[in-house]
Amino acid sequence: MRVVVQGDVGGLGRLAEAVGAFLRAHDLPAETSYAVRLVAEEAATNIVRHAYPPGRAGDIDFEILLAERGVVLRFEDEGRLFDPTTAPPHPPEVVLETAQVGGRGIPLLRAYAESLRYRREGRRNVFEIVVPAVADPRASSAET
Amino acid sequence: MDFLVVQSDEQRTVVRLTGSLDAVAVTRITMDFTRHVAMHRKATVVDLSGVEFIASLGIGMLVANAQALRRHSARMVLADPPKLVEQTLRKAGIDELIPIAHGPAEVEALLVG
Repeated sequence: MRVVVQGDVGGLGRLAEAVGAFLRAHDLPAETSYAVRLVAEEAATNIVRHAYPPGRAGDIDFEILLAERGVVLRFEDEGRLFDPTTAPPHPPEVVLETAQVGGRGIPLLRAYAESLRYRREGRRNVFEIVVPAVADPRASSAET
Repeated sequence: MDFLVVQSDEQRTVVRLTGSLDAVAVTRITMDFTRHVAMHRKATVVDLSGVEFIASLGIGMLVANAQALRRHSARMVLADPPKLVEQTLRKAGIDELIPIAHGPAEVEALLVG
């Protein structure tokens, strides 16, 4: 399934609808479906918030498919170069008063995805995420 | 995403969120949520039992409101999140910042601290 949406809040909603339609069409475990929704949301939100200047939203070219290695989500945009795989880790926080309000999107991507791959192709960011068929690869070592 | 104020008095605020707390929902409800939670400056229970999905922007909304309450010596407790939602909160480290409670007795104990 492939959709092209505007890189704004409305586009996030349409992308979420596309992910929902994909998940309804495939009989995936609840944890996998949840993980797919989450990584799609976080990756697309990153593009909306960081790739394009305010008021100049470009497109997000989104593709999702079920492969042998799991659910593959691919995002392409023409925003500024941004490699989520090299973003610094979110610091551990135990004090509410000084905690960051944001900055948890990429850590959640890392927590739920089996692999994150980024490359720059010309003027395009290409970001690919694989969510295993079982949501947490650390919870099951058997590959079927 | 639905947002309902269940209780609002001198002692506490109880709010219930239902549905998906994703970027679209957060954009829609943040101002209303903050008006009923942070600006009330009372101990607050956020009932998450009806939330089926939460993403980082939803988590950020909870953290910002909990911080605002803390500045006025008021606590927030996250009550009864479903399993998958609780997993997300814990993976994000939110349980270190805002207590997560299951059942009225635990909510009460954590709210008074």
